[in-house]
Amino acid sequence: MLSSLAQVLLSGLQIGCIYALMALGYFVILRATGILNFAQGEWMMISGVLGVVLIAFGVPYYLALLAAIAGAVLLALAAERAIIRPLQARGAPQPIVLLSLFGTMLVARYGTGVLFGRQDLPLDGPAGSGITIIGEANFIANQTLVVYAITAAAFFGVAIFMTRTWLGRSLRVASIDPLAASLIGVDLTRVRVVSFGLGALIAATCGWLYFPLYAVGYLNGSIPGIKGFIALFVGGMATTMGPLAGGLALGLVEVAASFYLPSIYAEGAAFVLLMIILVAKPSGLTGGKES
Amino acid sequence: MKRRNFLRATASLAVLALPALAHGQAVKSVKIGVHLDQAKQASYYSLIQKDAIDLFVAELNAKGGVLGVPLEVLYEDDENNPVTTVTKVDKLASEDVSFILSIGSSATGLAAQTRANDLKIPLGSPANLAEQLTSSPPKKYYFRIPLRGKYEVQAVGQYIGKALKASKIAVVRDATQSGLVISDQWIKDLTAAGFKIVTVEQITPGSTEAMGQALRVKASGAEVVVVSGASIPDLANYIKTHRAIGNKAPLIGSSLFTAGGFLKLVGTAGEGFVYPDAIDPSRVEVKAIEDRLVTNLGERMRNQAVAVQAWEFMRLVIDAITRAGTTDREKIRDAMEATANFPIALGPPGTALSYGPDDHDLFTSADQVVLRSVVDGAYGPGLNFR
Repeated sequence: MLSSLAQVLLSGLQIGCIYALMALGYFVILRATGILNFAQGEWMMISGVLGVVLIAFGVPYYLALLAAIAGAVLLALAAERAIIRPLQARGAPQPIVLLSLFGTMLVARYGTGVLFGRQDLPLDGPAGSGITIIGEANFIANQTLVVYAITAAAFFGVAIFMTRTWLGRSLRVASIDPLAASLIGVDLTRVRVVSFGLGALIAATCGWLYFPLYAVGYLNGSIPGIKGFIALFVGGMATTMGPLAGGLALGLVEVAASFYLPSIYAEGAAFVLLMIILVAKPSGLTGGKES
Repeated sequence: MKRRNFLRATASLAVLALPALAHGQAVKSVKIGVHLDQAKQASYYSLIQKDAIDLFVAELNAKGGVLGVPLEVLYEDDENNPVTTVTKVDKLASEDVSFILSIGSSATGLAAQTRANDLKIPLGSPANLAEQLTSSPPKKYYFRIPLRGKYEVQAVGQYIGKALKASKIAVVRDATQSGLVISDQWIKDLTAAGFKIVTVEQITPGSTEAMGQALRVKASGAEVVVVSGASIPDLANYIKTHRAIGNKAPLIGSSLFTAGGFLKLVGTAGEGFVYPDAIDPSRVEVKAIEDRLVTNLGERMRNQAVAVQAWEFMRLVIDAITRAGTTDREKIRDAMEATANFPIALGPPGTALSYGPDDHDLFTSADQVVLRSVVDGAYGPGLNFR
């Protein structure tokens, strides 16, 4: 029992960190612009796909990693420049903006399938593919340690950025009252670009944490994208701790359910439990008045 | 005759003569329609088949085509959507195709089959697996050559019983919709064959590992683990975890695992993995087709059973059109049904295809199914276990 509990924690935190990072990407954009960016999972996927392509062309691993993340971020910024900015400049209502992001998501997904192919392919993690067996039935992958470390660093970095820098505070103010924010000198366009860029950076980095544990493929950004979205609402949007709490809770519940319940019911059970949490606390686990 | 009556009579004659003109006049090409998934979930195997068909047609036309004219293939994207498929079949019908190939998913194949049957257009599939495509009532205009799910399971059952002498099976599947449908059928058929299913474990799509499931499978005392579903990354993760915890129970999968990418994802954990296939790569006929595909289209075409199947199905259709001697759909259908002892590169060596009024399938018994295993990181030859 104790042995399996340890594995539930190791595995649950591993996938929970992935969900938390995806939720953090949504959070940064939502807090700054009020926009729920459906395409986050696709920037994650594109980062992985670019990585596989660059490595196949012989680009050194870490250069490929950086170039792939940069490529995905540039694509996200291009989408913001070409689609979101003109729509907001014309005063398009929020549902139209959301619809355009949904379209962006589909174009990115299926366009990648056409250009890259539909085969699922492996991507090595920064720490290789080694696994350390602990005891009789526990194990931890080297990649898992990377997942933990990057997640901690990302949340720490974003929390500092949002609370201790003028630009970060601008992001928060802009979403609460855009008019007042612009009156006190906040450049709303800059805020939007920074938030979309930062959100894409988080998602693209997350790709290099998730795909080495799964597979790179044009459809494979959708599930982490959806789970990150759920994690955001489970954790709440009051502070950066919301996405972290939501992601870890979702990951732990999902893995615990697959250990202790017949796995046929595991996924459903995890969602039932999360619905109970949301009913009991609609603003999420960490949600306060602000959320 | 009054001018108006004359015009009416002329118009009536013209309408009556249209079908005769359509099939009686000298045709510039023989047209075949293909509906496929260009970009969605079924596109991976759709596009492999398309590449094989394109090469086949290029070679055929270089040798003079069929009925003395070039063969023309009209492709329509069905978007992996049965409703869209119906409109695409209508479009192909209006373009006067003589035969339609379904190279998308079984779901779109079923939609195309119903519509083509109504329109009396012969059609068929090199790779659609769904049992109901040819189960009763017989579909007059539909023909196919792929493995069929029930014989696939029966062949795996033969292997488990005869070669492994096992009776307790664990089933591991992914929770995608297709994964559940496919594995439910496996569970039903294996149970009906007398095996005891000791546990059914399900992998949540997108999971990064499957330790909980692997531990329960080990604890269940299963002598064999059947990995059945639709999502290769999820199932590959199970296989890796199964090996990582030292479970020695043999792993057996479905023909899904012939899809490229599996070996790369599963790595060394895939060694010894057994799966059913429609082709035996040790057959000289298979090797000859594969060599042509690889030479012209690259290494990505190696070990692609669906490419060989598409090639062979095209050969079968062209043989029927040649025997019919016309582009008339009804006569081509009759020629397809009259196919007898047609040597084909599917199944074990010596397999020949014969259709009949109540039989439009190549695979009609589990003994025709080839079982292969992963050897040294590659798909190995057919296993001799019968």
